[in-house]
Amino acid sequence: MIELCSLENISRVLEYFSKRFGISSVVFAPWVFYSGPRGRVFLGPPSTLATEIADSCGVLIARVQKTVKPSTNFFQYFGRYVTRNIITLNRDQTRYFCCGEDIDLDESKIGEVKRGFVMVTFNELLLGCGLLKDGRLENQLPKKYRMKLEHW
Amino acid sequence: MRGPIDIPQAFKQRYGPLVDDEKAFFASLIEPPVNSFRVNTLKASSGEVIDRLESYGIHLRHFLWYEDAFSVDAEVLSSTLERFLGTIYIQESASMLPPLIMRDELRRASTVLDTCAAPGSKATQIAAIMHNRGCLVANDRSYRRIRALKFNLNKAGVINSIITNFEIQAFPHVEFDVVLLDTPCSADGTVRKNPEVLERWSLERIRGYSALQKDLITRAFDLVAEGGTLLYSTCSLAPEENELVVDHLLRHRPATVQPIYLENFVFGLPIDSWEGQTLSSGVSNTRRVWPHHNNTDGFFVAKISK
Repeated sequence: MIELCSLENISRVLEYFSKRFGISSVVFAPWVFYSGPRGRVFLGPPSTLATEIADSCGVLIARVQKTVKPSTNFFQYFGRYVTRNIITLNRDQTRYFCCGEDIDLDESKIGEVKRGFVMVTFNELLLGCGLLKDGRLENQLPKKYRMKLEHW
Repeated sequence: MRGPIDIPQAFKQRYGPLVDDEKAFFASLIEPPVNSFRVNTLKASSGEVIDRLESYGIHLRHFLWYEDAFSVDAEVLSSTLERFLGTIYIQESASMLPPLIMRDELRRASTVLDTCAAPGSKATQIAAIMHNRGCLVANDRSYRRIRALKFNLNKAGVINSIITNFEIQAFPHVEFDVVLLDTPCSADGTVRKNPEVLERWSLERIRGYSALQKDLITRAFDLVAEGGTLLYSTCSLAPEENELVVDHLLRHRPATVQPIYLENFVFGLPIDSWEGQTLSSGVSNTRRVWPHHNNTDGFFVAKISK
């Protein structure tokens, strides 16, 4: 069932997006935060139908448990507003990432990026979410999203 | 590889007299389907997507009747980065018609219901036309099919959607500015994509769908707000699933069928009588889509106002 997201969880998500990725809360103003099972946070339309009859709504943007985990959908849509903690892959790495593989990164790729969840890009295209840990980019793509690229 | 398509004699005898060019029509049914897609303008513009696809050496053809729709020669789309990113949606071109035909109504709408939304081709297109604003209820009666719907809406970045799981007859009474009823049908307009529809093609099957469609269109119309629009569509060629269903609505509800126009697209005229029955005059504003006119699947559309 879908419920309106608690103010506490909305604050946690907005603060996390702002501090870690530099996204202003204004970006989300046209929509409403909803919560679903297992800490899922959705961004959906401003309609009472969402909590009255919906099986699901909008786009899953994060999971809130002990920490906030942004989703691949979130980066693919709102990534244009992200200003920091971005990892840019080269062409070969992009193919491996889209297949669901982890990527070992050079120090030069990491630069100022801090350990934790990051937005992954290729040629300014928004690929999704990764977890940067000890010089390695752990793949966070949902299994259904993974695919073997032949044209990129 | 698909084998040769053998069109049953009864199919030929039924639809031959309805078309303007029998030979071209039956020849078009055995053509391979067109690999078409639509740019998901929620995530990217057509210009940037075209530039990238062409940079991979993929040759694109533009549909003259839709600025965001294209076709390609080979089945290459499913392994492109654009599909991964959700910037394209692989979709049969005729199925792009219903949202396109009511584009003006969708732009003005605050609330829209897509009654049989899975897997989400038209729902994602509607959301793009609405610029992710307002509220789009994407409903499907099948819980199994809703999983694909959720995936596609998420992938396309459709934020303004609510997913529901109701039989339309049991849908709560809420009124919408626009309702789309792309109804379950015999799908005998999709022969070139799904030749197996011919194996189960029968009049009994068509009549079964027709009875269901008459129930559904009446219920869908009841969910339209005063001044709102219902778009009825099928991928069937059968009069019983098309003109006769609209005729049934006109006889039971105060509905008006609106004219349909789409630049650079050739529509076929509807029938005005069937098996001795003269249809309501409003049916003349519905339109058929014959495969040989635009190189698409067969389709039927009716734009109905309340």
